[in-house]
Amino acid sequence: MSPHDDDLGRWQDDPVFRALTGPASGDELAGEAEALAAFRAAVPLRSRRQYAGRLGIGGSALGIAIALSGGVAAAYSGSLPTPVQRVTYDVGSWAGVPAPQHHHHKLLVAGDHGSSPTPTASRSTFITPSPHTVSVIATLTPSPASSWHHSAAAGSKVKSRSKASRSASPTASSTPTATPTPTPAVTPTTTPTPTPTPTVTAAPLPASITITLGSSRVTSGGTVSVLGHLATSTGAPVASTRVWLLERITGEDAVTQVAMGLTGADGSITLTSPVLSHNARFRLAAAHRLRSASLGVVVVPTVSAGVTAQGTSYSVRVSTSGGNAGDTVALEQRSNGRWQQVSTAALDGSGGATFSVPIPPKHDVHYRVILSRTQAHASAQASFVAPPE
Amino acid sequence: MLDDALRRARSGDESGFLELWRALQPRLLRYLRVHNGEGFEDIAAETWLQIVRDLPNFIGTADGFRGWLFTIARHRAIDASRARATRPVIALADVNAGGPAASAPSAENVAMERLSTDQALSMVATLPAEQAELVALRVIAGLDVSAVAEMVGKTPGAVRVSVHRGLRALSRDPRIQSEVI
Repeated sequence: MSPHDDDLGRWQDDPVFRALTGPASGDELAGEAEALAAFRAAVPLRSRRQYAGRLGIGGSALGIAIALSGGVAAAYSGSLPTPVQRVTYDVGSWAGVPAPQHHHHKLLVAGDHGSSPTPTASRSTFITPSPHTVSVIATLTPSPASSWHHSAAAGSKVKSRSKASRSASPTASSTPTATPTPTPAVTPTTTPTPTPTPTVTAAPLPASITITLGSSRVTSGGTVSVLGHLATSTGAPVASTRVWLLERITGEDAVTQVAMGLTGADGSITLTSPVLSHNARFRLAAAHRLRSASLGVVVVPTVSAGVTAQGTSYSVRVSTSGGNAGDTVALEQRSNGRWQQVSTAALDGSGGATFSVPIPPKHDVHYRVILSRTQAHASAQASFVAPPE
Repeated sequence: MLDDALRRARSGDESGFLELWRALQPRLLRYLRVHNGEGFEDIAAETWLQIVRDLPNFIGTADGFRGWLFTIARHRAIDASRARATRPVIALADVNAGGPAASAPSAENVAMERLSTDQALSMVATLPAEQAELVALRVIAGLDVSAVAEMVGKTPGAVRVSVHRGLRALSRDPRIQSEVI
């Protein structure tokens, strides 16, 4: 099957369609190593499970351990009995199950306290335990029963071999503390140096970021204010959090980070664009991969016309600010209440153009020059009057 | 093309599995972003865990595998949505959020490359939920009409019409104009 067979052919050139089906980014393929590790781990596990099945023991427990969902496993793995948790770790580290530790706590600190000098962006998907990493996730509802939450088997074409079994309940020795402790003393079993002393900050998690432009049109050479607001999923403001302003010049692929600031106590932030001489789109970005919608700003050039008599005609010098060499300027004359195009010219290297119009014999003649809209800017115009001799 | 990779993966060959993963993981992430938004990477990871666990028992072609993958993902996404509604979780601040400003540009530059697709996914998510999912399954996941129809319990004709209406609505979105940022 072609992914886009039959009736989707007409959409192949649609920009949204193209964007949706575009090539994978490095970000999207970032979890390859973890995926491969899970695949490798599954092979011996399958063998073990088959072996256990022949012996009639242990199969269900192993199945349960693997079936824990990543978020659930990460949040609730402290509830697992150590042997089960260790098996989970064999395969489930890919889904965020930390390695078993002697001290079980409901709070785990996500952070690299080891050798990496520059922490990379946090990825909630794969918290891979290592001697250099201590992972902490806080949860409010440590229900042992829900630790065994198992999603309904979705693959109808597959014989499900793992069923949740409550027989594998946590033992007394591994029963976790029921109430999350705000300041846990985390002591990894394999302690690297230096000993981590994590600081847990239960900062609100930003879930949405909005963007508002001070203006959607700006005179060439001007700037625009960009207002943003960062909020949690419940709408509460997220303060003191970095927000970046991203700019993409229309017609270009590159996106540039042009400003950065911290949100205020009310979660809002105001950033200022750089000087604009070209249409652009702006987007706000924050941690946790939050991206606002993108909004466009149209640059409006300024146009002026100077008229100078030269014999029997006027020389009309058109000057622009924000126009680019090659842009088209049209000269129109008002006649019988309607505008009629007289001539066109291309802007020169200085952003100007010159026309010549006759000096009228009796009455004023009204003209206007129009700089056509381009990908870089909006249209703009200027009017002038050619007086009689 | 993926049939051979699937065959090899089923027999335990790592290169076969990676070929499948590389081909389908980006689409899986995009689909889950439209479906769930929050926690989509976790759901994708869970989906692949189930895949690698049950792969030896899978019988079918690469097309069937694609449908199987997205069926699992869809069910897990639905489960996650329900769980999220009933199980509040306090998440910690992004460990990178308070990092030095000097480290920001490189990370952001990576993200910037994704803006076009990000914008498109956001737009799909603005469609009515049912229509958004049909577009996601049909266009992003790359499932054929009959597979999508079976998955969501609709007729192929209804799927086809809904997807086309959704794509047409997206193409007329004023934010698009001549391009997608």
